Amino acid sequence: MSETDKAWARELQRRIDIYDEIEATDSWQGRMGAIDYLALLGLAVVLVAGFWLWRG
Amino acid sequence: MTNAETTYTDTAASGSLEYVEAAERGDLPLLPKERLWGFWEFTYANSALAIATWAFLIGGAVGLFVGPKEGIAAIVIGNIIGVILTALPTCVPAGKYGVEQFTLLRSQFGVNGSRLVYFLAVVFLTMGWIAVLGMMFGRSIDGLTALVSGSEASPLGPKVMVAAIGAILLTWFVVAKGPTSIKFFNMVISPALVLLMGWMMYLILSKNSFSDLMAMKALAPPFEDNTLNFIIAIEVNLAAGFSWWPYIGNLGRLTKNERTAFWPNIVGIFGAAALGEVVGLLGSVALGNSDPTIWMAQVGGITVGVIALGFVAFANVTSMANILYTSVVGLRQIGTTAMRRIRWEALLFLFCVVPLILVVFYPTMYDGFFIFLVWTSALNSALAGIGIADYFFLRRQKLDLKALHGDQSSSPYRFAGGFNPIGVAALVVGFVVYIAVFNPQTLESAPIFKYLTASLPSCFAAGLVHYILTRIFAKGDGWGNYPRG
Repeated sequence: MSETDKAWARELQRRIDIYDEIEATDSWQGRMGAIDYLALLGLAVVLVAGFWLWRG
Repeated sequence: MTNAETTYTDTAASGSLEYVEAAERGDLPLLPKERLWGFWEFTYANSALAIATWAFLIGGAVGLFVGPKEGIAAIVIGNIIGVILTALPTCVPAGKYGVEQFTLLRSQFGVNGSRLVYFLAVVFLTMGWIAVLGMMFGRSIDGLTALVSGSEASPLGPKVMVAAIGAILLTWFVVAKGPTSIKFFNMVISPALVLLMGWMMYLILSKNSFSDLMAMKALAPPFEDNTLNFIIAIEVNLAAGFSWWPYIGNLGRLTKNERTAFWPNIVGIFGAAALGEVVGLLGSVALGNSDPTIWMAQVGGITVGVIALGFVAFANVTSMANILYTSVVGLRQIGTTAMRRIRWEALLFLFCVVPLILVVFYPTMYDGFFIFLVWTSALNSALAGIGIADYFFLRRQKLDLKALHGDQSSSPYRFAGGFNPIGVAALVVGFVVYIAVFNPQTLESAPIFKYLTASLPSCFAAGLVHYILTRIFAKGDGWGNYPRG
């Protein structure tokens, strides 16, 4: 393995470690939660049902 | 910034421009602090992508099947479902991990499987769109010169072909210059397209009352059964929504988190595309022709026609440049070392060869472009279903970043020779289900199509097959490292 490859592997591992720590401490910011998915479902149902009925 | 990030920023060479650039290209996962876009930045970016000339084309195609009232309903219903099902498996994981979309796909298809999917979903789709938009450029120029000279437009004439070839070569030149020139085009063209849409809407509504417009009939409904025509119109719009699958994941990874990667799609991709399609629909039905290069020439007299067609012609180059750039960046990302050695300009030109051939030998593709669009949904809907099943239900939203980016020969995502046969089988099942329910070429359909469309059964079947076969067979080292229990 060349020095470049080793440096690349270290950088990849550094980035993975950061994500591992976020995962371990459950400190994900802006995570999609139950409210997001419910709002999404509600929006889809309202639009689909509303326009289906509107077309007559 | 999280504590974890602060620690590592201080102790490692995180500021190294080389690695940040590599992460932006997709070679490494982007860290949350490296990502540029919040909610509004991403909303603007994907609105700019969605507000493109193809929206006029899709709206016009909808007008062939149903009148404006049903058409607007079909545009909203098809696009909202298509965009949601596409953004969930692409933008949510990309927003969480900052991983390039086709690198992420290794967890579903393996490293070679993701290359296969790239060629099937991105190369064919992009080449087809470049050909169609090139032809639209040619027809705009032809319509414009016909307006000025007072002669008849000739949509299949040599002038259209020459202009279309010129448009593709111009696109190649712009993209070969790099992303800065594309950014300049986007900054100018996208807001101007919004103004053009507003102007067209004003001209249409000034000549027809809203109630008159809503009472108008479809241009060429293929069946006597109005419900069937309506479902085909929904299917065209589902296909339009699913057709974002190859592009939006790699935009979503530039956002700060899952929410900012997902929700702007509803405002930008769904809202902007629906707006453009509605204008295309109303224009086509009110003026009696589904081709925007024809109805724009008639909507407001010679001066308006010349300005609108001239603008639309060059807006096509922007749309073509966006998808060509994104696709070739992705191609280098998933490609072999030999492919990466090909010069950027040469690789771009190779990508343009098939569109050039289509422009010369298959110019009627433009008139039936929605058939091509609907064919792509047979693949994209299945890919969305597999992505949802894999990321949300099988992996429970957790990915192994080392397996994605590390040596693939020893990766837990290596599967069989770099292909996950389960993912590939699910993709084939989704495609077959689609064709069994609805034939895009002939518009023939099974009875179930009227109740479920074709994209939704395809999406569901592919996801279900992927889930069940993975649960049963994906065991042991190198078979995806799926969580058990």
